[in-house]
Amino acid sequence: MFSLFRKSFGLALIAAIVSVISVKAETPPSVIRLAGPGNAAGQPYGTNVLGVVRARKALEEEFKADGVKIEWQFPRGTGPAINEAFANGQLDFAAYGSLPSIVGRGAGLRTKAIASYGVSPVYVVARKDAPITTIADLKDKKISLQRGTIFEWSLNRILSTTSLKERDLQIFDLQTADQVSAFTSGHIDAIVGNNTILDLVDRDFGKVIYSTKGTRNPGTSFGVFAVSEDFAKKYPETTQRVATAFIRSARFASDDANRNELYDIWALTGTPRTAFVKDYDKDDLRERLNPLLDEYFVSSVKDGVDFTLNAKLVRRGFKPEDWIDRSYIDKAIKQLGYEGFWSAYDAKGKPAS
Amino acid sequence: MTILADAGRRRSSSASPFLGHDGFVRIRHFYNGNRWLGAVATGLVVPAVILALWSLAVRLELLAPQILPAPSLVWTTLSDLLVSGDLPYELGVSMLRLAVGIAIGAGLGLATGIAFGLSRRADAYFGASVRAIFLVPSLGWLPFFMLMFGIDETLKVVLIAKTCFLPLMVGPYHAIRTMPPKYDDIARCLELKRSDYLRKILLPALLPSIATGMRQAVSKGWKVLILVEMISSAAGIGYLMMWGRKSFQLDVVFATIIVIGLVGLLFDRGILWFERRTAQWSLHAAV
Repeated sequence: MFSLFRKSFGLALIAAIVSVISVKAETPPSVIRLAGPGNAAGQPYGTNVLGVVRARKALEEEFKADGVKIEWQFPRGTGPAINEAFANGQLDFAAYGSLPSIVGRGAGLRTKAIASYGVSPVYVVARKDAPITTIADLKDKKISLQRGTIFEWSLNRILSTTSLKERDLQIFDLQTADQVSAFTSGHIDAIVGNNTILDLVDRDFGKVIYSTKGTRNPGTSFGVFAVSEDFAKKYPETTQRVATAFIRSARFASDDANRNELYDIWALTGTPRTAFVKDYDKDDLRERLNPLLDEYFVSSVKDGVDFTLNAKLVRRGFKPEDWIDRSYIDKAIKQLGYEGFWSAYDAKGKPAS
Repeated sequence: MTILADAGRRRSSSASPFLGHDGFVRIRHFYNGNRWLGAVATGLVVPAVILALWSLAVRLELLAPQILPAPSLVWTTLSDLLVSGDLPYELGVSMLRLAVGIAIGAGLGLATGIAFGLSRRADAYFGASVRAIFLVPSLGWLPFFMLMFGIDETLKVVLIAKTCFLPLMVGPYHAIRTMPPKYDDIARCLELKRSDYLRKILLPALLPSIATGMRQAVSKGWKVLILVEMISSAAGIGYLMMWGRKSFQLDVVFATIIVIGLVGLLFDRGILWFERRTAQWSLHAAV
C-alpha cells in the first residue's frame, strides 16, 4: 500500500515536473502575424480555411490567456506582396496561392509548408457576345489574368491540353477591379480567375467556357499554409498551436452542416455571397478544404517548381520534400482525433486507396 | 562665357607651351573639356556614395537578399537583359509609345497654344475648359480612359499625349501674349504675308518656350508611360519592372529602375542642350 502510494506519488511528481517544464518551455511571442490574399474590396477578411480562422477568431481565443496579439494582413497585392512581407520579416504565417509561395521559396524565402489550404476551381470566363466557346477559340484574343499568381500557371496548364501557347494569346496583367471594367467595356475577351469572376456571369456579362469545378483537372488552383522557418524554430509550440487551430477550423469548414455559415464568412471579403454559392455548389467541402499534404500536393508542387523554372520565374528549383513539414498537422490531427476524416489524394488527383 | 574666357586667359600666362592666340584657344578647349569631365565626375559622387552604402547594407545583411539584391547581381541581371535582347526590346516598345504620344500631344498642344495666343475669342470660349480638363492628373483620367480606349496601345498614347499637351500649350501661349510689339511693327512695315509672319517672326519667337515645354513634356510623358505600363500592359520597360516584382526578382526591378532613370536623364540633358541653344539665340535676337 505504502509502496503503491510512493510509486504513484513519484509518478505524479514526475508528471508535474514534466508538465511544468513543457508549459514553461516556451514564452509565446507578443504578436503573431498572419496574412492571406487580399480582395478587390480591400476588406480585412479572407477565404478558404484561413478566412474561417480569421472570422471565427480561432487564434484570438486560443491565445487569449497568453495575451498574444493576433495581427491580420490581407494585402491587395496578393501572393507577391505576401512574399515581400515574409522577406522583410513582417509575417509569421500566410495562407496563399501555390505559385507565389513556390516562387518565394525558389527565391530563397525561408518558409515551410505546414498545411494545404485545399483546392479551388479555376474558371475561364469569356464575354457573352464573344465568339469563344472553347479554350482553342482563345487564339489571338485578349486575355487578362494577374501575373505572378496561381492563374498564370493555371493558364499554362489549361493551354497544355490544347495546341495553343501563351504567345498565341494577348495577355494583359490587370488587377481584379481593372479586369472587371475592361471586361464589361469589351476591351478584353476573357479572364482567368477564381470564384470572384463568377460575378460577371451572374450579372450576365460573361459565360464560363472552362472550369475545373468538381475535378482536379489541369489548372486547378491549390495553396499552402506556410510558416516562416525562423518563427517555427523559435516558437515550435506556438507554431503547433496555430497549426492545431488551423486544422480545427478546417474540420469546421469541411462539415456540410456549416455550409451556409461558411458562405457568410467568405462574403465578408466583399465578393458576393452568390459567387461562393455557385463556386461550391454540389462540391464536397471535405475535398475542397482538405488540409493534407498528400501525394497530390507534393506532385503539384513539383509541377509548379518545373513551371517556374521554365518560365524563368525562379532561378533555382527545390525539392518539395525539403519545403513540406507534415509534423504539425499530423500531430494536430492525432490530438484532435480527426484521423481518416480527410482522404489523401494521389498524384493524379484521385482518392488514394 | 566671358568669365570662362577670362579664366582661360589668366591660366595661359602660367602655362608656357600655350602662348599666343593659338595657345589660348587650345587652353580654352582643354579647359572646357575638363570642365565637362569635372561636371560628370562631380555628378558621379552621389551615385558612388549610394553604391557604397548599398554594398555595405548588403554585406551587413540589413535587408533580406530577396528585397535588396547585391549590386553585383543587379549588374549581372542588367547585362543579361541587355545581351538577351529583352531590355532593348522592351525599351524600344516604350520609346515608340513615347514618340507617338509626344508627337500627337505636343503637336496638338502647340497648335492650341498658338491658336489661343493669336485669337482672344478662341481663348475666351475654350481656354478655361481646356485648361481644366488637362489640369486633372493623367492618372485621374485612367479609369475613364480605360473604359474609353481599352487597355491597348491607344490608352498609353492617349495618356502620354494628354500629359504632353499642357506644357506645349502654356509656354507658347504666354510667349505670344508677351511678345514685344516691335516684332509686329516690323512685320507690318515689311508687309509680310501671314505665312511669312508665322515662319519668320512667330516661330523663332516661340522656339525657347517650345524647348522649355518639350523638356517638361518629355519628362512628364516618360513618367506617365512607366506608370501606365505598370498598371496595364503586356510589354514595355514599366511592364518588365512589374514582372520583376511579381516574380519576386528584385534585381530585375533594380535594373529597370536604373535604366528608367538613365533614359530619363538622357532625355532631359538632350533637350536642355537644345533649350540652351534656342535660349542663346533669343538672347542674341533681343540685343
